[in-house]
Amino acid sequence: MEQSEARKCVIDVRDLYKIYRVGSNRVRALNGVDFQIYEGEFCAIVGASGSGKSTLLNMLAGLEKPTKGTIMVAGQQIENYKENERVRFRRENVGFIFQSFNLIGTMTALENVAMPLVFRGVPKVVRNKRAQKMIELVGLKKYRNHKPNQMSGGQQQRVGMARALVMNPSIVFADEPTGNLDSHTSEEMMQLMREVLSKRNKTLVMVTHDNDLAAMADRQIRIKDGKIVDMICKKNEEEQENEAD
Amino acid sequence: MTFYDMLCMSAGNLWRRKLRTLLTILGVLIGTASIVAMLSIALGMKQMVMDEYSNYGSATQITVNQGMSDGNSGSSKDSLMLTESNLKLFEDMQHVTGVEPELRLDMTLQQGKYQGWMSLVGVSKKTMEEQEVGEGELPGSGGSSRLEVLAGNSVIVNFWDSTNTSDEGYWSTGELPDVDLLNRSVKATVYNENATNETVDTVDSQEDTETEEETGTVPESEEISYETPIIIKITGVMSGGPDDWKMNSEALLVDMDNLKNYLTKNFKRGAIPGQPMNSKGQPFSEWVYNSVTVNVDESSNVEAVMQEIQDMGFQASSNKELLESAQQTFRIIELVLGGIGMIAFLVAAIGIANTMMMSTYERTKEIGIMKVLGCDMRDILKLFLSEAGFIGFIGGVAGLLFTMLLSAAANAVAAGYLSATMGMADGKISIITWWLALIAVVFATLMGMIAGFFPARRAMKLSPLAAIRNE
Repeated sequence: MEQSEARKCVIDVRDLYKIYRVGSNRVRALNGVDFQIYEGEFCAIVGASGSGKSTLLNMLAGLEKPTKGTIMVAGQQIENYKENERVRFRRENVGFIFQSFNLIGTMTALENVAMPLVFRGVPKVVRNKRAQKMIELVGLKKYRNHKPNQMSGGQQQRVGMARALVMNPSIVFADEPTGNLDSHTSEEMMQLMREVLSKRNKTLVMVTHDNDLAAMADRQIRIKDGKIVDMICKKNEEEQENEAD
Repeated sequence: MTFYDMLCMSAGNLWRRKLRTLLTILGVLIGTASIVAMLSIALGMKQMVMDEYSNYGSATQITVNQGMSDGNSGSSKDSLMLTESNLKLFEDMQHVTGVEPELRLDMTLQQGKYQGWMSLVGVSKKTMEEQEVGEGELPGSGGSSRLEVLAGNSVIVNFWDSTNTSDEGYWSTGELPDVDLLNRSVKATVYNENATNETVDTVDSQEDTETEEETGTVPESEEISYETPIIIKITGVMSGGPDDWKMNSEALLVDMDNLKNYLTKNFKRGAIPGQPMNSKGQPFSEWVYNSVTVNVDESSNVEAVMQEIQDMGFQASSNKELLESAQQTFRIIELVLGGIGMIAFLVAAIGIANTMMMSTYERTKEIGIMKVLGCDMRDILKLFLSEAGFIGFIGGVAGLLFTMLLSAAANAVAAGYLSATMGMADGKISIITWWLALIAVVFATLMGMIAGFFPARRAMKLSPLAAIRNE
């Protein structure tokens, strides 16, 4: 218990609902979800497609509003934030890695990585220096002046990762980050991600439907039909049990 | 996001779609060019007409002529003569900044077989110094023995061949008479209706006026010569061609002091030509002027001063109404022409809106990514607005430069035509003032931004989820 006090809770979700209206039907994408994620943890949200896992991630990252419930991320109560407050919240606290990389095609790797800093008004010299460091960290020094279409999928995703980290966010969200990669590259990617993030004590929340990848996580949250059906924790199993009650 | 980064980014975005940007800019170019061209023509026309009008005097000037009596006698009242003391009264009125008397003397000029009727006009030093001299120099004070004269530029066309009875002057033949005002001597004669006063100073005034009236019909029977020679020296000719009409272009100007000096020295009191007698047939104790120009401080006060002078019994007129109605007309012309140009610009603005709308559709994903990565909504709005503004600005500048070239070419072509047909040496049919240029560019930029506003707002409100939705 003492150990859990020491570990900071960075994500605290309580009684979360998301209901979409499709025609006259109501679709419950999330149907009452509670969980906590602690600082430095690698958490995987696992589920089949349509289980509501992506919706959950979007809400944690402040991209979508919940219908009901509270979300506390990095000490901020974000469920009632307005659009511009969400933008600020994301800019200051969150890094995002996409499944389809979502790099800007007209920009070089370095410029893509530096882009979040542009939105923060960081001067060009500073932001290039920081982006350069991130590029080196993900091992793409040689490719910094390449456009996305001159790089392989794995390389593009590494650029995406560097971009997510350049703002030094406390939490990184990844939506099926290896969904568009072959299994070999996926593994490399995951290893790199774990290595970089755990070294800096960053929290990583990843959505996946791949059980092998999920098995690498410290905590797995399994979702089915908008509800948590299972929560598996590698470290401190008994402690986790206590909290789940 | 810093302003500089935003400009770089929006310029980069435009550069990415060069052809489309170019085409949109072309539209703005044509729109701006049409407005600027139309307005520059309106300004050119206005300038031409106003230049023409300014020859008749400015809007703050009132021309005062001798007042008329109540009507039945037909002769002027003594008190309504433009005497020095009356001038003083004008000068003391409110809003009057100065008065400028004019003393006129009609005379005949002769050189060889050519002769012509002219007016010799005495003007102040100031007026004299304002004249533009084409040949020779401005006359000096002259002294009492002769009059130093500046000839108007169209004086020469008023000479005709006295030996030729067919009555064909310059106006019908188009040939300038062989008269050289500067280098050959000119003989001047005044017809002095007061000549009798020189000899019959003591004659009863009643009779005097009788004789005076009859003299015109029987001049040769008297020994008294009504034709008095005057010694003049033409020192210069005004600038301008013989057909360029302007103020005093058909007159001979002489310094007022020179004229007064000469007249008092060479004529006895009462026999000075051109000076009227009072109702008793006696000469006035002061100089009597033919007309007076009263300068008013502001054109809005012209009406009041004019009324005051008219109430005194004088005839007063000003150019104010003429100038104002002309200005009113040109304001309407400017509006109409500008409105026609505006249509082309409106089409260009729709082009900008269309381009920007396309751009937001195309870049939905990019905008979404930017929003997920924490780009402020306002920054996205500004980004798109500055792109639209850029298109407007570049199109505006290009359109302006294009019109400047066009305007220069039109003026070059028109210059020859205008000087040939209308006698305007420096007429311009198209004028682009610096403020027209400035307004054109600012207007084009603003219109671009207005046209880009709704697309920009659409971009701003796009959902960030659009980006991470897998296509």
